[in-house]
Amino acid sequence: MTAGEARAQGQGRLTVIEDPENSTRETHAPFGDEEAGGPPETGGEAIVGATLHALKSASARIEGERQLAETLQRSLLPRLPEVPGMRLAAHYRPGSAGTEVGGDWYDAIKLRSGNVAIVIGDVVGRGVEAAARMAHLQSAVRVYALEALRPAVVLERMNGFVLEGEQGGMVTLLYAILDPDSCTMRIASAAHPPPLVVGADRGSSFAESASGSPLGVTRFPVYEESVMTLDPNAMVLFYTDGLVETPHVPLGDGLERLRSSVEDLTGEPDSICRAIIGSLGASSHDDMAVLAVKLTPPGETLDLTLSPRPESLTSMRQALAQWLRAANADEEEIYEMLVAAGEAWSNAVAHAHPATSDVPFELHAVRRGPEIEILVSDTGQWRPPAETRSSRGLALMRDLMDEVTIGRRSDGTTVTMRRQLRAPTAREGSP
Amino acid sequence: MIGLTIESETGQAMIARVAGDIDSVTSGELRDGLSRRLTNLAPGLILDLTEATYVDSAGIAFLFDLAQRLRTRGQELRLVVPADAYMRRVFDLCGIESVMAVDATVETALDEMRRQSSPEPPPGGAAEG
Repeated sequence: MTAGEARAQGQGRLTVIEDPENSTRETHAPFGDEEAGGPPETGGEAIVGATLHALKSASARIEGERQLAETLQRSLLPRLPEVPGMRLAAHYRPGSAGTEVGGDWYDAIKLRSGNVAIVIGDVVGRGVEAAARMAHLQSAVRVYALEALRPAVVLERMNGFVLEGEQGGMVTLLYAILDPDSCTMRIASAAHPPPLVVGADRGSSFAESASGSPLGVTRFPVYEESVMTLDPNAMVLFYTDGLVETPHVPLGDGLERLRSSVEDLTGEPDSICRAIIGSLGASSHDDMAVLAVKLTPPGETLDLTLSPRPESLTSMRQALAQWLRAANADEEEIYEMLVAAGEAWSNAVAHAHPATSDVPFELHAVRRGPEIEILVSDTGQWRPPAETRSSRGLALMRDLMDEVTIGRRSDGTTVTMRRQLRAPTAREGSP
Repeated sequence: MIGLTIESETGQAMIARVAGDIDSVTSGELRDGLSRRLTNLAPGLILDLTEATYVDSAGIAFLFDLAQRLRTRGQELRLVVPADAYMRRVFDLCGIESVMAVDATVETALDEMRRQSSPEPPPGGAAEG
């Protein structure tokens, strides 16, 4: 499936799994037994009643705080971005009663380069305080990510940030940059468990990387970076320790349990996250977060469904650039075809009928031998470009492509553009 | 995504550096960002597109409008586009040099602007590189 189709299916949506068994147990179960127990002794009845009342109100207060922390935590977890060349999904499950909500968090940040930064971390501590602290850390990581810093540098800066914060408590963090074009992943870890990499043959292994000290422990930590090449269809699973650490089970066993449970799973990142929490979550009361990234290599054809909203212009350019790169176009050819496709996008948006202005339109690209064909179909009526701006756009399309035809139908317009790629041999040997 | 950083010094040309894509979505933001900062005192504006990654016809329309607006105020617009930038071809196709000068570096643009705004160019001036 291509990025466009995935977008149409609403990838990147955050779903939080509810565990009905846990939610019922959380509410009043600890006191249910007491109430249902034998009648209190006479005389002590008032005291027991008062104690019971105090316990109940304390319980309600604790439950209220727990719910507040959970709401806060959930509102802080991001909606995942749409990234051409990969599909992302994540799930968070709060801890059950007794352990409360913790500071597990994840994030995925789209970088200007077309790469994506994956963040997964755990703030030691519980409740509202941990959730609030997580919010600070999340913002800081985002800033460093957008500065395009390398993973080890991000961890160094974050270590400084945590030390300056004087809020105490250990933080583990893993930062990865995934490049969907070259199928590489660069990671650095501050005492966070390693991501699990699942290959196309379903075989899986934990990413080997030197793990540095947790954030906020030492002034001059050493973080090492490792780079690995992924299978073009690989899936990478990031998670927090709640998933692999359970009381009475050694960490190694927990990791092995995760690995074997993932090998049995197939499907999309969303259902895989769901299944993992479903199977491993039952034996743990700790909170847990899991984020899965699946690489989706560009296919023979590119099919995008585009919304007429401004943000889809950037997504379209990224997806098309990636596809053209895989089709062996050189950077100059890619640039020029992106401009031509961008003009077709603008025309489709500008010419859409007001009644259908929210209706998505489509881009299809196909390579036939050395020729690239790009079609942009909308449901609007092409109007002769009156303005200089749109006539300039049309002229640009004609200049940048070998051939441009505009097909008008009663139900819409299709712009077809073709261009021959230069001989690929001319580029061999260049990096 | 678009980034705009502005450097201005009294009496000197204002330098605006643009990073990111200049398209139908971002050119409006760019127009607003620049209008707020442009003063009448500067002899002109140097728009540095070294870090700009993309420009389309909407971006070009914006540049034409900007040049026009500046001209009515007696100010000059110069673009800086590296010699090997892919967007040079798009600029050539649109005939942008008929309306504004395009230099390869900010230094050249500043020199040119100083030379043109000085009332009497030095006779037998230094040879151009």
